[in-house]
Amino acid sequence: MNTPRSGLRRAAVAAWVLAGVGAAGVAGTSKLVYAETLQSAAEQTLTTVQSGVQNPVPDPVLVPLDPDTAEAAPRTPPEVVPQPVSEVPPAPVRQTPAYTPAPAYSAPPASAPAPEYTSPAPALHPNPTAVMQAPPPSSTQGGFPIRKSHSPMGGGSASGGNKVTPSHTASHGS
Amino acid sequence: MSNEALWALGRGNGMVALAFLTLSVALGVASRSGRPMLALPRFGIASLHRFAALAAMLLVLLHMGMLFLDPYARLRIIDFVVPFLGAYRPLWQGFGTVAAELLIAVILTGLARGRLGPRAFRAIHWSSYALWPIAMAHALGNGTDAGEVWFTAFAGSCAAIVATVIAWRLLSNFAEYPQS
Repeated sequence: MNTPRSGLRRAAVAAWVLAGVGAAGVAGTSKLVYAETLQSAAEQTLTTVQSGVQNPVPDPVLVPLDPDTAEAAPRTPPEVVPQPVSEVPPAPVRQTPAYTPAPAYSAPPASAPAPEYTSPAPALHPNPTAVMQAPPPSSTQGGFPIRKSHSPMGGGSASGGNKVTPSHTASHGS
Repeated sequence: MSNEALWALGRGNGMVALAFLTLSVALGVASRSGRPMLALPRFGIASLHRFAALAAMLLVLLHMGMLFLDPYARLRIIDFVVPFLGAYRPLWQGFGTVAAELLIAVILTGLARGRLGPRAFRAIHWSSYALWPIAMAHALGNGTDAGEVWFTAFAGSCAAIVATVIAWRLLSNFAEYPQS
């Protein structure tokens, strides 16, 4: 029978089918990308640990993986993986004003600038952008920290991932 | 709800929203033809077209809201209003903002069609043809899964559907009863 009433009924059934397909699609897609996120994070953690074993100088940032310490770490800064590799003490520009680095602290850069010249500058003129904003996207990351690369093992509502040892990077979170 | 779940749900809602937008475009073209299809009468096609558009709107709102609540995405309120200001890939994220605003405009004018009159409604409704590629550009340029095979297949299927219905729309015998 091809009456308007039956057509209306078929349209309603089709709408309900669409709603079900949409809900299933959201659930399935979300589950898929969630599983991919966890898998990528696990793979990256394994790679990080393996590279840390091969490296004669252990990386102080990437090694700690226990959940107790990882929970306290912010989620976004650990994405900047290349930062701790250099093992160089932080540049004076990235320090907070409260840090006030002593001349002995800023000495390690190998270019050997005069301590009297370099140390007062960051203390008097701290870079406001480095303090207020999250670290800018680096070119090696494609411009933004991708969630795939952070470890979700922290599990906290506002934190997770690897712990960042240098206190100055932890304070630059989101 | 953990932040990872918000992140995953936000992405899932965005992808299904793109699927519903595709379906809405296809059903809109089909309803314009005036032919009954898929065992549905003409008004049934039009009704499904409206339903798909409203569902897409709901999914886009969920997509925006969940990514806003997730601190990882670092979205601000202004990013939902003014395009191309985002911290992450501002061009592609701005396309998402433009697409969402266009969708809101199309939905609101569709709901107020009786007050606007057919000419104004049609003028705004034609922006749907720009809305879909802008939304697709946002998905491809800003999506985390844009490089995955399954997402490429999904986006390709959506593009094939829209290309097919637009090609059908351009045929001379598109409408059942051509306008004189």
